[in-house]
Amino acid sequence: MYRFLGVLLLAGSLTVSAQEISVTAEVNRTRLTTDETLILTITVSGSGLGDVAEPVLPAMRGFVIIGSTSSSSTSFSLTNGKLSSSGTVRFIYQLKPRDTGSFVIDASKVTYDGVTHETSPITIEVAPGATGAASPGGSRIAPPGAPPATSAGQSQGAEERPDLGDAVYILNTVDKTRVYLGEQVTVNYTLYTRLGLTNARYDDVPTYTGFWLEELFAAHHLDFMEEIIGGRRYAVAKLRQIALFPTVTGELKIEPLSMICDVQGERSRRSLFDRFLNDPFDTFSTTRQIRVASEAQSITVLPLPGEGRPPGFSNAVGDFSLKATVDLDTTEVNQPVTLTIVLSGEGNLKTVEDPVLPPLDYFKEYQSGTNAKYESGGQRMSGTKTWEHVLIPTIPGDHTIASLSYPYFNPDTDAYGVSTTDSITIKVLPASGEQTAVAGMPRKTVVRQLRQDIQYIKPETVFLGDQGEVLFRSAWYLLLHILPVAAILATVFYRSHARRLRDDVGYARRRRADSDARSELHQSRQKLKQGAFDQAFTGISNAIYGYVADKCNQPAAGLTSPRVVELLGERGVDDVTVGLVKDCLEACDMARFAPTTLTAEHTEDVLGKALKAIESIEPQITKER
Amino acid sequence: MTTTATRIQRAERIAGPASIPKGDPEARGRRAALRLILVVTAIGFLSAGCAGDPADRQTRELYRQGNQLYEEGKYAEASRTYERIIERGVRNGHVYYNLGNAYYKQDRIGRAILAYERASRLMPRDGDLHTNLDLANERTADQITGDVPWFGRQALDGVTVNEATIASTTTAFIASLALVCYLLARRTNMRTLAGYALFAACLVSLAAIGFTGIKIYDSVTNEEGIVLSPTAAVRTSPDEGSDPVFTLHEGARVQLVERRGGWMRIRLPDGKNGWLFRDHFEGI
Repeated sequence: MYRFLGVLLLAGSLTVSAQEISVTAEVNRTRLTTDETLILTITVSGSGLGDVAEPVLPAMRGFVIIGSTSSSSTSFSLTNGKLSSSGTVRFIYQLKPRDTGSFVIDASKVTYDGVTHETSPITIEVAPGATGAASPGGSRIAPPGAPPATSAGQSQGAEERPDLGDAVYILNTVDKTRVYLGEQVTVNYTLYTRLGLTNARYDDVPTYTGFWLEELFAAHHLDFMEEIIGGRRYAVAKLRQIALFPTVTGELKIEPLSMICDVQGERSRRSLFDRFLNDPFDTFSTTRQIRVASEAQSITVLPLPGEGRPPGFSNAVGDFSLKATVDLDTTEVNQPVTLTIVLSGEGNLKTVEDPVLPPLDYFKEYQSGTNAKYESGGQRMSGTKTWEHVLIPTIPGDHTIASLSYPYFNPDTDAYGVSTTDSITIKVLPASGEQTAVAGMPRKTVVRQLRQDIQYIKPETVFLGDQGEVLFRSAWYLLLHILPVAAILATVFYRSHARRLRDDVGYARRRRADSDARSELHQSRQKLKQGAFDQAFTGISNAIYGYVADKCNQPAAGLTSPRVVELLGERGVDDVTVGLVKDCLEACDMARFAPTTLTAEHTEDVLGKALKAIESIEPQITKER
Repeated sequence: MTTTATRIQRAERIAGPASIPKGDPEARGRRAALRLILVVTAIGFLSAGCAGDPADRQTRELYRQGNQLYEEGKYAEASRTYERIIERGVRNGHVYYNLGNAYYKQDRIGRAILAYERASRLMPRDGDLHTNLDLANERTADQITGDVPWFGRQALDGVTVNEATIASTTTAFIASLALVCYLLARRTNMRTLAGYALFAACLVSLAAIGFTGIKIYDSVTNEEGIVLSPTAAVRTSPDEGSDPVFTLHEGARVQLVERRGGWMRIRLPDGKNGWLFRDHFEGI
């Protein structure tokens, strides 16, 4: 339910394509009371806008022009290498209604380059101002910026605005209307009332565009004082005091500050009949809601003068003084000294830039902190700002810190000034041995990288062979993996063999039979060479019996020649071989019974037969098993 | 485990030591088998350790010349000399590293990055190399942001395929050795010990083999390339007439996804993809 929702754009705009300029007229409200003022803004904008003549206003029936101002702005843009400018000129008129009723502001005419542009007419309704009985008293007000709490019932009461006249108004006073960029403007808002106000709260709070704002005073409670103005008694309350620091030059506008309050209505003004006919409920709604606004104010902001500007000036406006002190004037190498720089004075200290330290050749400098104290007790913003620097002397000697200067512009004298500190000399003694010992450790300094470059090339001592060969694709590498598999298989085989040798006597005897027989035969051959033929035959006999017994896992002691033939036959040894064995055994028996008849040839022959027999039995029996 | 071991010890004390007499042929055979396995394993390790041929004389001579030219500030000649080593079929991380340095000094950042990346495939944990690669990457025009690689990715990039392969082989050999010891061990406590060793060795070996498999798969499938042209338009389809999707600049690292004729479909770590003509880049 905002009835005055800022600026309403009602007027139609007229665009002439040939000149590409547009002229519009707008008002800040279309409905107002006789207490309020209307702001009519005629805006002329277009590219390459030159001087614009003042518009010709229509005859104002029902309004008086109480003020006018104009502002212009130009913006430049570079498009496709062409510089184009577009400008806007605003003509602002403050109108005061003379009478109640509905009025039409006819078209205004602007002539530019011989062409006349017209704006659209605007209809304005003017209602009578508010009136009410006064009963001064404190009431709470909402802080600025809080949304106005307006209920539907209250707004109905405010619809028929009573004529307030000069019963309630907000006066805003500005200490200066022409200031320099950055100079303080103090604005005071004071509420004057002859009526009893309750439930006061801010409605529109200006945004103060183009200013840096510092709140000096804000009322949380209406504290009324009595004052007689023009023979009438007013209750006066200070609402707000602000310090504004312009940040742009030109014509700046301070928009009106408005408040909504409830006014105690009169009970017995109307007759009973009127009350009955017109508004039976009016009897009970004795309070009305009213809106009070201050007037708009405009401030001219001048740029700082170009001449006499000291070097190093950093837009500090005010009256400042700079001081620099050190806590010690005699110190030792590596023993820190604190340099304190204090800037104090009047002005917007919050935006001042840090003073620049002179180059310090014999010190390492660390900024250790800043702190600021602002005062706004009086009308002017002031305070002190402190910077602390820790200086660590690096070499002994008398070192001078050059004087610091801080240039500023003093708007009171319209001149630039420079505040300069004295130069400071610090006597630095060589570091005493004991102190270093007490301090314990030398000061560490960060190894600072001066330049970043790639690491140097690798030397010739590195490995330079081909690393590109993919191992898992090379045959020899894959073959290598046969080794563990073979080792495992060999182990498994060996293990089963060893176990069988241990557990299976027959197996063990069979495995040994051949080699035992051969070694027996070998010994027989030795005997033969020695000439002991009978012993050689005994050996052959033992070898054959032993061999067959082992192979067939039979006790050797009980074996006879026919039994041997039988056993071999059972195991499928062919008849020729069996015959050979039989021959050998018979020859051995013969030799035992008639040892004298033996000859070397015969023995040799039998030995060869025995060897042959064993050789031919071996694969047959092994194969069979 | 401890209780088992003590129990076994106690049992032995009661039964008397089960030492094998020296003359026992079985024991002798087992000892001989063990010795054989040890020798074979040692030979296996040694040959695996000496993977790759030692540098031949010509490589060393060219490398020396390249370094000398580099020291004299003749970077272009130095890079040509290093390139000759590579043309001879020798792929060596140090050669690529020095080649990258020579290109870096000539301000041929794309070539430098390519050489560093190739070196990184061969010696992934070289600190100097990463310093230089980071510096070279800072000088490229494109800011390509991708996710921070997870530790698995870092692990994969931190070893070469051959290192992973050797690790797998070594662990597999150790596991085999443990199995042989387990089979041959006669005393119960030795057998238990060998059993634990076998179990641990098998676990480690399986992990190593799995990692190697992933690494090999990654090295085969995850192909990357470096843009070498000053500017390269990446297009929507593999033909010169199609619209460019985005433009890459020298030194940008791209993933190579699909080949079609002279074109390669590339992908950036942030997911952008398109087709890039062969002349604009070279595979790492």
